[in-house]
Amino acid sequence: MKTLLPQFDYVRPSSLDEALRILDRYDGQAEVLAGGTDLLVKLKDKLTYDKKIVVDINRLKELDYVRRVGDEVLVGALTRVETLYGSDVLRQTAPLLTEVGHEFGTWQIRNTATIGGNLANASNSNDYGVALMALDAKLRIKSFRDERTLSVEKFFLANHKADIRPGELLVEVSFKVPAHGSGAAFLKMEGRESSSYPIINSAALVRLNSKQEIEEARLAVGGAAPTPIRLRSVEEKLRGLGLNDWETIDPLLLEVKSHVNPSSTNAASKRYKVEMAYVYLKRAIKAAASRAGFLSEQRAGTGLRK
Amino acid sequence: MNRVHVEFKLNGQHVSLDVEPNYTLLDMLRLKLDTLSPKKGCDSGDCGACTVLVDGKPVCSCLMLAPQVDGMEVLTLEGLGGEKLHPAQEGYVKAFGLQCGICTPGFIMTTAALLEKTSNPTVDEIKQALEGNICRCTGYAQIIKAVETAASIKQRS
Repeated sequence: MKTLLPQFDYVRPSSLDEALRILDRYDGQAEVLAGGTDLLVKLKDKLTYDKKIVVDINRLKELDYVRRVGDEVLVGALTRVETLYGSDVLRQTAPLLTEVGHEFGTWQIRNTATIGGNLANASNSNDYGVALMALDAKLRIKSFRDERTLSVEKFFLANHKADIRPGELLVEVSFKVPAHGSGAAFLKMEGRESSSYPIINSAALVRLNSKQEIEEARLAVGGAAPTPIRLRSVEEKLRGLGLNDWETIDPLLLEVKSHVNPSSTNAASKRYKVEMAYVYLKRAIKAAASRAGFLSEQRAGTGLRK
Repeated sequence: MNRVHVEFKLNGQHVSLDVEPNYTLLDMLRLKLDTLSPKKGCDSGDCGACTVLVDGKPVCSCLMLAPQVDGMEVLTLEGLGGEKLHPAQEGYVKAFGLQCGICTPGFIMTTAALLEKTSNPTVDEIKQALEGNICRCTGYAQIIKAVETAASIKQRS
């Protein structure tokens, strides 16, 4: 039996310019189809539909790239998760983004899903959103007439609601290569290891100075509020603390619990998610800090590797 | 809703048809092209029973719209073997990596793609490649054996 899907027209632009022209013409009546792994599931749940046309952007090869330009890394919005997972540029500059790929969906899903789609779908636990917050990433959004750049932190408005206006398309993700002495990690708690939505995900970037003190920390958690969130006040408190001073760091991290506001779902209760947000952030910080320590010792030549 | 003209290669054969855009690739294969090996299990990308290879990569055909494959190559179980069984098929037969069989076409397509990538996969690599295919009968032990068998058949051939 045929799957019931709402009725829509279909168009497949072959350039970004053409895509933006179409999105402009349909002014909010168009739905963008990237990897489709979220969109098709969503369409199958609908019997009525307020969009007229599906704009398939899968042929926009100009949006499929990972490259380093100076101290910046640029990722096209249409880059598949499988490509990101295997990307040497990311492994060298921001391995936490390849870690996202390791636990993302299944092989079939990774072959189709895109980073732009994952962000634009704006689930409150979207993996790339959380990881990119720790990288202070920026998003480039284009429309036929205009272009704007905003920080990933500002992009998420509510669960499944991103700051993309009618006629706009997310085209690029960019971030600065983390400075020397930085380590970063991404962690995810799921009901099972593959093909399930994250209950909580967390990301941390820690930069140490030569005295092994935390010079800078960036922390983000997903699944614990209506959007992924950055924990700036906790980050501030970690500054200047020694890498091995966990007796001081740990009580500070308890503050995480007062910043999160998860809802109970079938997967886990609110109370449990609050605890897990704290636990997964702590683990991410530990993993990030130990990587940062390892890296800075390597650079200082203290003998971890000859 | 306007029909869309689609031309692509299905199992090596050129096909050309007009399709309503609200057909999934899976529905087009099963209902319009009589290609019945991809199965409709969950219809939401979780079970892998609908796995086909699009330009060589395993994907869930239930999560693609039919017009998306215009100009591409789609391979299903029907086109995998020739006169002889493909090593992936033979592996599942020899190791009896199936019971009821409904998930098997999907498993074999993913296995065939894995063997293109890695000729001698480890158990961990097999598990990661097959995480998007669900079997409710076998308990997977025989399936892993089947993939190992398929790999050694492919190396010998």
